[in-house]
Amino acid sequence: MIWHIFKKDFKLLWPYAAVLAVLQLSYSAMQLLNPAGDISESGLDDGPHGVLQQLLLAAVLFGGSFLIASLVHQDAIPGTRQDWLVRPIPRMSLLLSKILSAVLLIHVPMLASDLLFGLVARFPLGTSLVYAISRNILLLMVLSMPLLAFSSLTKNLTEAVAGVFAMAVGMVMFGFITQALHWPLKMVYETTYNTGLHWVPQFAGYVFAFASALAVLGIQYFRRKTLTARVTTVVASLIFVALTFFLPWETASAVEEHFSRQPGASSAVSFSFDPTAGRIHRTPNRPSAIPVDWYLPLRVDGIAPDAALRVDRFSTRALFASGESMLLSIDTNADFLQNGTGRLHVGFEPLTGETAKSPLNDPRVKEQVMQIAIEMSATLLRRTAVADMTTLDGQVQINGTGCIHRQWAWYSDWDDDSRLDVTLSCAPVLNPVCYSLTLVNPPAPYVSIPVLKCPGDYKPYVGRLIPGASSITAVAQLYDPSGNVRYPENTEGLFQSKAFINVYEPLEHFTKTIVIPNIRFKDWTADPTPRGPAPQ
Amino acid sequence: MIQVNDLWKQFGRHDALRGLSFEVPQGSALALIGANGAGKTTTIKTLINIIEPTRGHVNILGVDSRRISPHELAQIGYVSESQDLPGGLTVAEYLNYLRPFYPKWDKDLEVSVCRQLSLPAKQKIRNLSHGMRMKMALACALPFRPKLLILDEPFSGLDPLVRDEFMEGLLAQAGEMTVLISSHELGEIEGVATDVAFIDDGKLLFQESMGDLTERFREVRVTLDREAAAPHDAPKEWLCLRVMGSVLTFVDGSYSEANLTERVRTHCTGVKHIDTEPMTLRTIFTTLARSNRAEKGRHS
Repeated sequence: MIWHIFKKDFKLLWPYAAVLAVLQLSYSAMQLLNPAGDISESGLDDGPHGVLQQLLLAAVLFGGSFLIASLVHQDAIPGTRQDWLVRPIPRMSLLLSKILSAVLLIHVPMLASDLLFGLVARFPLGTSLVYAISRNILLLMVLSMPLLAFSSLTKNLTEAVAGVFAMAVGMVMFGFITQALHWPLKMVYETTYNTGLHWVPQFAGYVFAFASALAVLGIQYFRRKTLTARVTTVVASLIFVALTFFLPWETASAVEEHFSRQPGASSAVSFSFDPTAGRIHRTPNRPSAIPVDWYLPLRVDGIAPDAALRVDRFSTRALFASGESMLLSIDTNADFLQNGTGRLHVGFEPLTGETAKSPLNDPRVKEQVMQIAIEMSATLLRRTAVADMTTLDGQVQINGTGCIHRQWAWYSDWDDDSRLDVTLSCAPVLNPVCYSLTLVNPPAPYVSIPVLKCPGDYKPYVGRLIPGASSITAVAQLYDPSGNVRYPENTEGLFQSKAFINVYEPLEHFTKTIVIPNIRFKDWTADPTPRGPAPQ
Repeated sequence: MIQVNDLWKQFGRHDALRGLSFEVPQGSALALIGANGAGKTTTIKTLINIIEPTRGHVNILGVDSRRISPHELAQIGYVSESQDLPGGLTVAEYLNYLRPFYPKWDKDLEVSVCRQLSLPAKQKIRNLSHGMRMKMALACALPFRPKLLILDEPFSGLDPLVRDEFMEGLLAQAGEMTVLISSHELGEIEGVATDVAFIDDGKLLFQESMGDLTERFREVRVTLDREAAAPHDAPKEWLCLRVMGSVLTFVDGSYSEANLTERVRTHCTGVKHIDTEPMTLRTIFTTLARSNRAEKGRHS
């Protein structure tokens, strides 16, 4: 009966499904025309291709949602006039036929276009298949099933649109509130954002959305209790928001620790405050109105030669002699590719405008000698592959990374920064979690210092919602032999350097707290003495 | 076939059904009659679990209506004026779709019913007129030879020709079916119903056989030898009392040929002549409806 009901729905809805399939194929074709790839990173500023790509993605999303709603509304649940209610149609068959329709009319064409994209983009068949299948399973679970459940709460498209409008108003209000309460919410709102642990709230949200969708579908298809199902949906939406936006860092950190691949691997790692490293230097000619990053020097020991360390999140807290404590800053992502002293960013100097409200501007904090407690959640990474690029020029497949080299560029800016960027287009599933770029024997007078980059998260599963390849950028910072910033002059020679991409995977997540006994924060603002020549 | 016990249904603060109880015996054809908003459609939708009752109990084909399953639905034919059929399918496509769900679907009977009702097989349901759509609904309700046929206002909005075709189609296949029909078209019901249940304001006023009902009600015209006046002690079964000159008319709701004269003479003096006339279901219904409305008016 499942197939029989599907055939009826197909007869009624195949034109919409055909249009959606064309939209999906067009989107994949557009992705190939825009090799920079990842739409989530490139944003809506890429000229005609990018804009058209975004429009097509929106059309696919809208078309898919419309098709799912139409499928469900063929045999709507709420209401008392539908003919199917008086027919001997098993409810389970009806529900399964709707899911089958979503799979065959939406996900199979989507899977085909994803697979085609992977192959045309020159990713191997296996990788392309894993990408296409995993993405569509994830989409079915976290998007199509909730959409089926939402549609089952409504009688027709008018009701569905009204429901979507109500949810959109709720989301806009939520956005306003979180923006207005930025600093008070900082401790609890999106604590994992832009860190390797972001998969934890995301995955919790996915699982919860899927479970809620099943619950709502069960209530609707087997009990036909629309009011109960609607209340369940509202409550589930609030819990979903709480899980995905307000999951405490400590919880995410505990989950990540639980999933560590090699517990105990980080036992040798130690942190200490390293005042000998001195202060950061302001870049020459940098306008004084532009704030400079404010760092504390931190030494790390115990990192094995084939390992790297990423401090995913760290907070600094002032402990005054009076016993009072004050949270000074929370920041994410301090990277250490080897043992030595690195910088923990705590704020900016000078603090003006919005940042003037920071606790770092408190006179007691600036002037008094006090204790500083640094709480760190960190992840030890292990190098799993070294990919030889041979040359930075041209588009080549890079073995061991699942990536294709697309383009390179060098940058310099007013920060203490001059770097060479290599952009890679990576397979949408097996892209590296963290990586660094090493230039071997760059032309004099450059010294290249690799930088650890971790654009994704440490998720232990494949599958992503956003279609297309990931665009990642590997970076090497450029200095001269004396350690001063060196802005590129002989760029041609630089791009002929032999290069390696080092790929890292997470090994163990852990937490540590260090206390700096006597420190005056003011002493660690940027050194006004410039270092190195001015940028070109 | 159907037993309804103390059935209640609330919509917000409004009680659509208020302790309704009645029975539809196997093989009977019960006409559910009542004014607009009396609760007929709510009752019918509750019977087949389209609407869940707030309180009370319905047993249909031996199971609780709340637990009605495809097994029971495969034995129930349902036709309603407000039935949403899938407009995008043709008549033939929809019949093809329904067929596998019914183990006892008779393809020959389907062809015969469709021919009798002159249904255009290749036309999309959304392009059918209201009358054609009702005939289509009937054609979808008969080919599996249901044990129970439920018709909710099936004649509403149909012109006399279509109504006749509908009735002919129905009667030709009725056979041993138990029928529950609600309609305002009492003239049509009269030819089908064996029993009548009268609902008002969510409550059952009475249920009895069509024969007993038409036997019990008479329009009575009493001619007096003087100016008539409505008797103060008139029995409550005398409905719609009216006086015109020396003539008193009323509807007797407990008519008996044997004692009518004696009962009239008890309450009226100077009786010269008594005429009685049998009543149609329609006139019985309108009399009862008016009388109930007047009664409610007095109480409020």
